[in-house]
Amino acid sequence: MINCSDFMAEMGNYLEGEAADEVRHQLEYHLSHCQTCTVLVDSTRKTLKVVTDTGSFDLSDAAFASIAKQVMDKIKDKTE
Amino acid sequence: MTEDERALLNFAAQLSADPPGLSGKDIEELAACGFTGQQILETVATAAFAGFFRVLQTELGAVPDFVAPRHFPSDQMKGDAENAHLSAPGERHYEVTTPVDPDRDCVARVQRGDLDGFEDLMNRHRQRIFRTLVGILGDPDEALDAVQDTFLKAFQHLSKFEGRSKFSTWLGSIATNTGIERLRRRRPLESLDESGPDVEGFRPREVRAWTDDPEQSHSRSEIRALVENGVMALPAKYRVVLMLRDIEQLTIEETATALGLGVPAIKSRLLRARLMLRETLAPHFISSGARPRVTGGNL
Repeated sequence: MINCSDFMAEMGNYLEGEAADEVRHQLEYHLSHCQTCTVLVDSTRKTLKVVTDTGSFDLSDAAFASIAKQVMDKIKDKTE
Repeated sequence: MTEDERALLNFAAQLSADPPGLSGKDIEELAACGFTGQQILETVATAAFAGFFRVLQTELGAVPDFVAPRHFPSDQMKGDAENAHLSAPGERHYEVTTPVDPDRDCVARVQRGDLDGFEDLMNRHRQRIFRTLVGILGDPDEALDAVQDTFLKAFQHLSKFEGRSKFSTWLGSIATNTGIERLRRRRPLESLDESGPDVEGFRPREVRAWTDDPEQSHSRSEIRALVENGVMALPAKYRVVLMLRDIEQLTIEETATALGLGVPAIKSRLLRARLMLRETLAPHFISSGARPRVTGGNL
């Protein structure tokens, strides 16, 4: 039987879908009995979904155009 | 390359990628190929030094300013590159060949003097480079300056780029080193290489259930602001890993390569980063029906 600390140690592989079958069964058995770890897994998955869905830290077209112009100007200055 | 040489190369590749995955059996197999204990020791030492220099390069922020000597004739390298699997079929193996680089033609154009090709390269990689640098620096404005530095350094060294790694990997390492140099100048105490317990020392405080669909409870712009503020509040060594894996959506292995760190360190930091971000976001997404609770279970 694994406890919550054991679960935490394996949680990264579990979230990535990389836990070996036997370990995954033990983790899921623990989840079926532990509300705290269930909430932890559920809310971490929702965190990931929110993070990936929002497209955070986009470099805007305008910002990129400004950088590209400055870089190309400097490059052309040096190569001329 | 002979079968024996291939076995030795596989051993060294695995030693670099996953040292705990090796056992005495691997050494016995090399011995069965005819390698002496001294030769195997030299291979281990060479792989260890390569790992040491990789860490040193990351910490010092060094960018090569020389062309690495070529030890194998190019026709021999080509022949070996066609062997996608170096080990015998069914055996555990690590690929040491370089897949076709989607930027190869564009890089060649720039190397022939077509400067417009460089603008194409910048456009293709702008998002990843920006996110890498925001991840390291935690400051979008400074990251914009660092993106410019990165592209200028890349152009400056592009004539020496020989395609031994993918262009994106090479460019990513310039970005990482540029970010680390700036980070060190600005915050001498903050480092991406700092070791120590990641998950072991972390205990979640907020364990109330979240609402079923957090994205329905706030506007997209509100959620984006919450995520960006939460990510920026993470320490650099966690922030950059989460940025590359979860926002830029690199694989674990690609993230490890981009940062010059091992896969186990990336996994450990990633989980810690996700749990810390979860903790920051939790107050905004807790289900209204959840009972007040600060800690629970035996965590």
